[in-house]
Amino acid sequence: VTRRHLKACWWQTSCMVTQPQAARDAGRRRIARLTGLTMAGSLALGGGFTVAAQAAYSGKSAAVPAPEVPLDDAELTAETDPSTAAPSLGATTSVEAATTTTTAPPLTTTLAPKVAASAPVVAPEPTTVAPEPETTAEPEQVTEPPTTQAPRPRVTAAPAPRPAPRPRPAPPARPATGSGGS
Amino acid sequence: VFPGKSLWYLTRGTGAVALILLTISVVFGIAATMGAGGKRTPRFVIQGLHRNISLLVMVFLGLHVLTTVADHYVPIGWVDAVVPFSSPYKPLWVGLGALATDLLLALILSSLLRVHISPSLWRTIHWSAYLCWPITLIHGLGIGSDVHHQWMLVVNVACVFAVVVSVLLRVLRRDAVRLAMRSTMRSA
Repeated sequence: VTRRHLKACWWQTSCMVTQPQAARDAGRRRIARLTGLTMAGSLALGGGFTVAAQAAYSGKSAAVPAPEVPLDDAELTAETDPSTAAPSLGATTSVEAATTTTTAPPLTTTLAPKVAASAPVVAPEPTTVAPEPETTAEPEQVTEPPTTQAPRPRVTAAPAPRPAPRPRPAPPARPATGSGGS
Repeated sequence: VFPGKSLWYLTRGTGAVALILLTISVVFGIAATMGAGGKRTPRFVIQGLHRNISLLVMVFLGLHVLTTVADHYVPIGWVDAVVPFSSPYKPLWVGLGALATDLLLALILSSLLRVHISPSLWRTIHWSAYLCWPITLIHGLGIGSDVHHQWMLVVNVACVFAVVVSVLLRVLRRDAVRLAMRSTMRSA
């Protein structure tokens, strides 16, 4: 053992240098084995924690993006969480919720006051949107907010009222004048 | 590649694992300092585990930062992950995480370059581990979304218990540590 080697091994492996070769080899193998076990355990724990975080995530965590979300949205999502907990977890497969007509009606009823409370300008739109058959996509927007962050549903919820005005400018009025003229 | 909120969940999972690994590393470091070890697990084994687990902490810390920045849900950039208190999103809590990252980087780099620096400097830098761990814990308590969940409470309490017991044992056995240090220096 040279002086340079001792200097290099100072503090961390100085006691290793004093060990016999067999003990050193056994110790190295033990370090490798325990490190591998730790690595495997860490990966398993990481996966488990990720799944647990996904499962345990609720409307409480909507407080994280608080700067971007109006309080009304956060409160409403927190209120709708317990009732729609099961469909909220399957937000990506919310099409199924839309097909099941039993769950759709209560969800639309919860959305109507939410939109009216957050944006009064949009309030008259639900009256026109409600009778339309195309609004079956609305349950998707409702099921997403309770899942996690509010801003992401907001982005999807914004374009929803837009298609509603399109049927409004119904052209039948023009034929009335046209037919009268001709 | 990562649909939906997968990155957000990964951020939290890797953060919790990084805290656990950092705790284990601190406990092994304290144990090695105290001269713990026996025939089957000599002291250099504990030191080797301390070193390897510290490197594993860096891996999970890198994943934690990577998933946080890549998520784009909160405005946290690469600079915010390294420069403390520069993040526009929760600057205090994110800044504490950045500070802990810097301290950990200093610890790892100084240990890797230990041959080229004086032992006293390395030891001085290594003392910041006692600052890095609580900062990491406070960062998790302050910004963690799962703090109120039972599994995260168990993780936090277990980590605090392990480190507090280790530090208390070290303080109580200070004389034994000094004797071990002297014997180590003599053998070297």
